[in-house]
Amino acid sequence: MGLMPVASIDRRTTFERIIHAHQRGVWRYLRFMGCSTAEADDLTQETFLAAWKSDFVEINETATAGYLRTVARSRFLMMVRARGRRVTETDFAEVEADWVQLAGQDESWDERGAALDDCLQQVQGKAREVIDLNYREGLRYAEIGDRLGMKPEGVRTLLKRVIGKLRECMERKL
Amino acid sequence: MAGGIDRLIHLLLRERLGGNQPPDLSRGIMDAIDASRGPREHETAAVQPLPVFRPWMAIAASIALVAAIGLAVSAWLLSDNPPPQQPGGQAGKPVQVIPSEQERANQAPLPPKPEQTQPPREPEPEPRVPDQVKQPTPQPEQPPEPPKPEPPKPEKDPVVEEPLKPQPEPQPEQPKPEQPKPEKDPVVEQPPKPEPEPERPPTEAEPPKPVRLGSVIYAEDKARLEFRNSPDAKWQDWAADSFVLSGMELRARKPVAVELPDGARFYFDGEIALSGDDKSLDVTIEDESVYFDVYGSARQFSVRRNDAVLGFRDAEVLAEKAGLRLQITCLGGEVSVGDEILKGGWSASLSEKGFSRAKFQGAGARANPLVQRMDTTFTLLREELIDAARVYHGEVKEGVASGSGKELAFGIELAKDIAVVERMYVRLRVRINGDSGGLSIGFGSGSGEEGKRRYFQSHHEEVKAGEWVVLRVPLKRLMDDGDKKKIWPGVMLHKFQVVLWDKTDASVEVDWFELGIEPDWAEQGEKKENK
Repeated sequence: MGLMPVASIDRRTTFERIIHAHQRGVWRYLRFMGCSTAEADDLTQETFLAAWKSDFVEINETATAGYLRTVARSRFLMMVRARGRRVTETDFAEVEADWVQLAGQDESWDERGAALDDCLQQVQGKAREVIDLNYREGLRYAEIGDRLGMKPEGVRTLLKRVIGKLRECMERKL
Repeated sequence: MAGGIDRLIHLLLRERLGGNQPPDLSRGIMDAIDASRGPREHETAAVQPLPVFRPWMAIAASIALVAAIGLAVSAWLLSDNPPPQQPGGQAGKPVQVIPSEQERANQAPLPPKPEQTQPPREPEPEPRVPDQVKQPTPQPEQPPEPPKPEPPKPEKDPVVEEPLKPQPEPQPEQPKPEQPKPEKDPVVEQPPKPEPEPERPPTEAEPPKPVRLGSVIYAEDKARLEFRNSPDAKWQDWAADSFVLSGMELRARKPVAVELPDGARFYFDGEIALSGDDKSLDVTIEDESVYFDVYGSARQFSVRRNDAVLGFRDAEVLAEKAGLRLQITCLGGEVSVGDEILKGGWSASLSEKGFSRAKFQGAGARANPLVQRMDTTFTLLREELIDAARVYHGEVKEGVASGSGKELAFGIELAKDIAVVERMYVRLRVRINGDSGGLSIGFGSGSGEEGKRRYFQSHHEEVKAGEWVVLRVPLKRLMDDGDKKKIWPGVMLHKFQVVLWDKTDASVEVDWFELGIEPDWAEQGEKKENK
């Protein structure tokens, strides 16, 4: 096994730190763009691998996050195009803007998460059951409907209404 | 913005309630980086001022410096001796000699910039694959690389289309300073290397004859099923009475079902390439996913994408394209790569290194569009046996119902009563433990039109003890033994039971069971095959 040059060791260490600092953000960003968890896993890995190979230079946290997002978005678009969908960068401009404003940093994500936890405590009864069955147990509308004696459309409407309430509650808190 | 917040709330809920939190991928990423280091280090060695290259750099810099001084002197001389007036030049005004881009470049500082002083890189609008990004900075100091074997390039998804990126302005070609050649033994002259002989194409072997693998038994509306017999051939529309052959590539926009002669099926909704014979089937996923339902088949199956390969048999497996890898979900039975086993209800990412990021999905494992589409097309009812509420004999644990007893081993009330129809079948994954002379399965009916409850059953000695088997029974084989009356269309099925032949010390386990209906075109297919 050959020796690794000192410069390479430093770069590797630096990059390892960057991965630790930004992987959650990139993964969430990809989920926000519409990736499944498996896709987000893969594209996050590809994003960092691409950044490593590009001789990327760290300037500051914000610039790094922005650069990684750009690479991740590019990878995401490539994946979507490979499936035959014609998409352009501008199709996701709004999503990108929303992300930067809402959850550009891990802290704001955690802050919103804490607010959501508080707001969830106010959701009771059937509304809470629907939330739990959908998000905790991963059931589909039809399955939830079967359990609660509702039509799938009814489940969807109720869920939409609950999300709306949660949104209002979170906005008040933040 | 409301849409954005809703999307965020949706993700937060998935994370906080569903446990879909960002995984720690750092190890996998670092492994991938380390795997890609070899060739990369080699490349950077030529660019970065590593100690071993310093003497070369110094010589190169000296030569460039001398050239720069020479040019500067000539420029100074020219400014003192104005040349004849150029057309369009102003009379009497001294002409200022502007150093050309070439000269500027020659005068540019030579030593390579250390990483820390590189200008900050702005995020690019659409970055290219980094290994294709060329640095626009002139690099005259690069010594010409000695001929070397091409380092392995990182794998690239052949399907992925590269986003376009504005190319950097082409830089003027730099005159490269003469590089000192690698030191050679001054006495011993190296004999000229003989030109490598062009490789002779191997003697062309007879291409293997295509083997009939199965038949397309179902193609959804607007599936636009196409095929070709080699990667270079043109895609052609699928003809209804064609057979699926080895060496064939198939593509479809909507789900398509292929049945093998032994009843095993696979379903796909993208692009696949097939190979195999009567003992094996190999499916390469080019796009989208393939769902294998190959219980009871003696064949060896494999599914692959790039270097990720999963071999399996007697299981129910969903394989989806995930970047360069495969996402594998085991829907029933179990599959393994090396020592790693993926059991029913689990999914994991598969690369050439094996499984990673295994996750238990439970019943959610079937929440895939292709699986669900096929479930609804072929299955009337399916019981995963996760919910014990309707089980009235035996016990349910980890998705398996088990029981023993003299009268009854296992019984469950169906989620809903189902009317018997033509071509209906029941299929179950079952294992008998202990000595046994087989089992019988049965359905209890609701009171129905006759106002009488009946019990229809069939006996199966073929189920041997000690191994999981998938038993498939056409319902027309079931009979009410009391009245010696065969089951008929319209009977409402209410409950399902398994009774052991050996009443003493045997027990039975049932992983799942389902009621399905063979579409009429499947029977037509069978008839054709029989002919």
